[in-house]
Amino acid sequence: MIITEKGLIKINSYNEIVNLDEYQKFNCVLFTKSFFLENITKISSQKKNGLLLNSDDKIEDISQHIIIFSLINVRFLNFKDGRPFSIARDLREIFSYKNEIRASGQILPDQLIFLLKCGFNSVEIDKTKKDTWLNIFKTDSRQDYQR
Amino acid sequence: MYRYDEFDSKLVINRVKQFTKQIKRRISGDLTEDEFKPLRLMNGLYLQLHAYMLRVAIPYGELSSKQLKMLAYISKKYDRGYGHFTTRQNIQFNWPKLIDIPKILRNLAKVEMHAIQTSGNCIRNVTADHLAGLLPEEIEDPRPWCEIIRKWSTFHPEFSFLPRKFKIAVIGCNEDRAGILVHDIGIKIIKRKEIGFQIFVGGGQGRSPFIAKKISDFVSKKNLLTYLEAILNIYNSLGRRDNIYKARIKILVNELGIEHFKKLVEDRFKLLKQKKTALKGIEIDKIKNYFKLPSLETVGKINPEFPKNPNFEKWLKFNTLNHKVKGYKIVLVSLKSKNYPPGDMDYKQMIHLAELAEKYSFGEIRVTHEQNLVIPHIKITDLFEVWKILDSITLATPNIGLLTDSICCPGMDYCALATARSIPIAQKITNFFEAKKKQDEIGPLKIKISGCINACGHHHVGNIGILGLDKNGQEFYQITLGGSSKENASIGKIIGSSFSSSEIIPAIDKILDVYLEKRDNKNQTFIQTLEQIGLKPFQEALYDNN
Ligand code: SF4
Repeated sequence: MIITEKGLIKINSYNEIVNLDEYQKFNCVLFTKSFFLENITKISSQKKNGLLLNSDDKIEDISQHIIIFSLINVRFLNFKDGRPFSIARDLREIFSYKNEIRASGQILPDQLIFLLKCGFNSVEIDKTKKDTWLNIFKTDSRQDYQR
Repeated sequence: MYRYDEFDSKLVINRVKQFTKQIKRRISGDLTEDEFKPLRLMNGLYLQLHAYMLRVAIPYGELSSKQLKMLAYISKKYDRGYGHFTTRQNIQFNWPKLIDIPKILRNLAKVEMHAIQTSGNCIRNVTADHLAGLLPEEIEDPRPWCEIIRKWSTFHPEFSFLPRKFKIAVIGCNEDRAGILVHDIGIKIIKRKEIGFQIFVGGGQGRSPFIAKKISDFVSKKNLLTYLEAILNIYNSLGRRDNIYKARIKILVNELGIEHFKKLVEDRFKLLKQKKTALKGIEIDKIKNYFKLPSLETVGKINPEFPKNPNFEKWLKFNTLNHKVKGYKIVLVSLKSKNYPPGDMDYKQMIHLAELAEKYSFGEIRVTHEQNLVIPHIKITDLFEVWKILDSITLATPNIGLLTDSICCPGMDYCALATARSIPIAQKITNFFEAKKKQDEIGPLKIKISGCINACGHHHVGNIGILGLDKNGQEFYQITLGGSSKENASIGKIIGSSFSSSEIIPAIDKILDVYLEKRDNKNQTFIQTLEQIGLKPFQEALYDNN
């Protein structure tokens, strides 16, 4: 389940795959950076390709390919590890990535507004915490000093 | 001084509302303590040895009388009647209840105060020279720049979950009163063809102390925030997260080497340069307007005759400085008197001082990083009157910069991490040396005391540093000599094995005797003498005849 930047709750349509067979099977796929680098020639631009990054993954070495991804999902190893905030900002501001960026992994609902401000469009959430997320989306202030 | 506009007020009030909800979620169990921790820390709330501790931000140390009166009210109503000023120009309350926190925060918001980013792994309250804007030799007032940095760093969406806390200090004079070289980022205003900034990075104290290294010799005003953003981005991406003791930027800078780190920052800076953080002259001017000197009337008598009083004369000598406007003095208020822990102030003192500042100094007060206060603009002809009032509320101890004006962390009396007590040591030093009248003869000297290796009492940069240790359940104290946080910043050297709490005062006395005996003249400082004669004579005095 995901919450979007518009505050909508949706189903996650990306299938996390680990090998080429699975890659062929689905139309909307999510794979790791190492899967991508190993199978780079087999990636089809006809599919919806989602890239799964961990907090500690670098993006410089794949930056020339990012146009092929319809989604980049950055997984928080821990909510205290703030690297994904920089990853999202880099994707937007340095690498001009225009498609969806999603946050997943261990995240606090209280981090939602910061996520959206750094360029994330959606967050994978725990079903049981749906109301907290919605409530924070509606009530947390978006006011800030940054430009 | 800076005044909130509607935007600032709204921001703070929204934050109080948000934190109030988070507290409710914690109480209901919706948030675990582990999840609640970074949220409460970002709102200045610590869990200490006996209770919660709330640290309230005093941006770059500037306070109004109205604000000080509110702090007095909070100390009385929600704490035990006093507050504790810290080495980062903030104030801490050591006994508030969790349930009262929203009320305290709402009260603070009424006087344009808050506790945002006074703790946690984010960019902390920016500090400045406490004499900012008051001295003739200043290149430019650092306070507007602190305010610009404060705004930029408040709720920064990218930099609120850094590997570790992050501290920035700014100075505008050559003399460094803010310890910029022991900060994560130190900023010095300099004048080349135009005025801009020298930037230092990677200084810090704690278990592995480092003196900051210069990363840029000149950053223009327009690019200041962009440059800071580049440094923070590299730190957020590459700073270590595997070991809390290696997570500060000083470790990253040291592991990569300053040249490599600098290259990463400069590359990043080039990418960011044309972006949104560039500052416009008009924005800078708008902020600067808030920090104009109040209109000080001309004083007729520049050398008034004061009543003969030796205590007043001593205070005049040690606790006042020349103001850049003729006819005025800067008054330093010592929070290091005999009967109070260093940096503590009770609510009555707060009220009286606030009234005094209202009457004599345009309602302005400042907090120094040495845990004292400043009343910035006192007419020379009012000095005797001001001294009388300060003296009547135990705030005229004439010891600024002297031995008994020591810095000290809360130590075992409050802090859960402490390995020894530090406040009683500071008090013993005060009592002992005040009684001996030795400190006047010694002159300027900095003693700094920490209750554990985390070094909140800055012992590494004390001319004499004292570090409390635990040896099989007994308190012991290690002495370092030669530290400084000034322009010539250096980390003190350990002199030898540590001393028990009954041995520590005599040990310091011996060190001071060596200094008095060996210095060439009265003006040779402790550090200069140490450089000249080395550690050996001190070690001989301390250990040889044992
Ligand atoms: S130095 Fe240690 S004892 Fe003192 S305040 Fe810091 S953590 Fe606590």
